[in-house]
Amino acid sequence: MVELGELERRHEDFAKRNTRVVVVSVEGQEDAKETQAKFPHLKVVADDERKLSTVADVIDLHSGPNRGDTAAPATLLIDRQGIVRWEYRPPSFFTRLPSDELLAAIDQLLSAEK
Amino acid sequence: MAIKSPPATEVRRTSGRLFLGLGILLVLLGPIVFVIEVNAKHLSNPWYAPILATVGIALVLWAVGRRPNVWRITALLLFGLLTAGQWFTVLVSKLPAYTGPVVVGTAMPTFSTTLADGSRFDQDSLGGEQNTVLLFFRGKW
Repeated sequence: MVELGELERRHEDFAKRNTRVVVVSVEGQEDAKETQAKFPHLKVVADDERKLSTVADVIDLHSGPNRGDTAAPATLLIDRQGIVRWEYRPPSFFTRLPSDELLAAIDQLLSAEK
Repeated sequence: MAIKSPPATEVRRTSGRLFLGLGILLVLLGPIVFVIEVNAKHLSNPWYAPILATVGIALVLWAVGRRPNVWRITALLLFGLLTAGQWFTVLVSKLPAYTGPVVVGTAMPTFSTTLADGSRFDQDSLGGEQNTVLLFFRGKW
């Protein structure tokens, strides 16, 4: 949850760029509610039916507790027309995109969208 | 006439204690650095950890060779397991190549899911007033 904490801490930087942060996991509603309470400036998706995670092809089989499936880390940047403008898919589940790099990508790709 | 033989040279054989300590330190160093990285909000694949641990276990092995005893052999086994665990963790962390339908420059494919408050969230929710960062995470565990 380090990554989410960092995004929450930088929420004003995203707001300045007219960008909202939506975070998705394959956990259910109750877990999502807990996450939402902890990170109030992020929008939390409870994708327990995996509809969005399947579309984004991020299901990482048997990688969670008790050999359950989880969402592999990935970041998509989508503009106001719903067009995917950029994606980041790390090579390993340890790797995360630093917030500064994400903000730089927004500045570079979506500056005209502000 | 008495012949004086030169004094026998004492061959000093180090016990390898220094290498044992250094080896153990190297095995533990990777996980310690990784924890520091996480606390510094920097998450990356810690390849350095098993490499350091392998060097460390080689030093422990050398120390066991210098003076084998039950403690050193136990340390070799324990830290050897820890080294193997570090390699395993780093190697299994590799994610499969992406083969899905999301393509940069095109609209997000159709989907329908729910937000934490139970409201609907679908591809139409992505357009509108704001740009969106869609970030997938492993969950709260």
